[in-house]
Amino acid sequence: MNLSDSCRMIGSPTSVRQAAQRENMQFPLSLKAFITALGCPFSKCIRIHLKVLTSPTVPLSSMLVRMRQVYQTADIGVEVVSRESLANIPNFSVLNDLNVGACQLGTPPTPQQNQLFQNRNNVEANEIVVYFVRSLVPANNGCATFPAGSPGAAVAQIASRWTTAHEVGHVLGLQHISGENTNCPPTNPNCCSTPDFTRLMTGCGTGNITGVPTIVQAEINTMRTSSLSNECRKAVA
Amino acid sequence: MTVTLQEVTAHLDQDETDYEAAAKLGPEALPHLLQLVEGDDPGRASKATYLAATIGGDQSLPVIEKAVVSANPVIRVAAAGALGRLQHIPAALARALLDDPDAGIRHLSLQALEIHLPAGFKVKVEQMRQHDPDGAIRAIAADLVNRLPP
Repeated sequence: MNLSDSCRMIGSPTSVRQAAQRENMQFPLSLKAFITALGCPFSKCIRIHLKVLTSPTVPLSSMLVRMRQVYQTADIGVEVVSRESLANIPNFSVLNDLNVGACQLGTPPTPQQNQLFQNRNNVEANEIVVYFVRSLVPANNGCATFPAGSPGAAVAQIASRWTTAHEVGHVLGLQHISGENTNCPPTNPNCCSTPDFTRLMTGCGTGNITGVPTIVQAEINTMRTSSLSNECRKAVA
Repeated sequence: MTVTLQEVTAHLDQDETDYEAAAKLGPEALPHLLQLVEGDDPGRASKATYLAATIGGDQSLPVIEKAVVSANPVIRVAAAGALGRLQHIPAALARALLDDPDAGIRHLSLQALEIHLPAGFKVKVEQMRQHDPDGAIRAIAADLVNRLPP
């Protein structure tokens, strides 16, 4: 368990005292109690599990902070339910360079994705697993196609600080925004002639985002009505 | 039509690059890909390797050659994965990747052989079946060796 796993750690790093005070928690307060106590200052929560074959170059903690910065604008909390290292386990070594095929919306996952995503380890049906691998084949920052009943995404070592938030956005039902390929010629489709790097779901590369990207109301509605977006577990009075 | 570096990176910077769409840039993108595979951004370098293989043709080989000798395993992974996309497997590059110290790269190189079933690799794969330090790779080599021509 990690301090940053708590749903209470919102956006930019904040002190435990500040977060606990915001939640009217009683002092003195142990770290364990802070992390494990139920309750989340959002109306919806997504619960994610992090399974790491290879750590990304951008620290995981930084990706989580960025993800929460965006998701909190949708009044959605991000709770890290578990972390598991799958590094140096023989059965997983060949999945560390994960074949994801075309990785397009609607395309089925590859046999390797099916094999990796089978490893859920007590993850509940309405929870999301993010697998961190060394690379995707072909090279991509992330991929959010997943086997039916095993919602999740794969994120590569080369991912940007926003990739996890972007891929989980796909898992929650978001698509890339429209209007970024204006007047692209047939010889260069998806040319990103008019990219919008203020949006999380840009299809032109989250690595180019500056500042905190936005999600619009229609996207918020999609995220909040996803079956993977849960009521937050309430604190026991 | 002249292809600019910016047009190439617009594809490679995407979180989920559509290689088939990007390949429509054609061989004029290859000089930029060669520059990117030698650059200091492993994300762009590994994607440049795949894109070169997807564009295909002999002109793409210098890009993949650079990736094969990269010090960064992520870029060599891309080279091994790219082998499977080429119309013909370049024997010298495949041999270098089959000898890579990284098990993941050897694994992907065997998968490329599985796609092409080229002649001249049976002895090498038999050696891997017997002696590769990674059990998963020995198993893949065992499955593959009898399907390879001499």
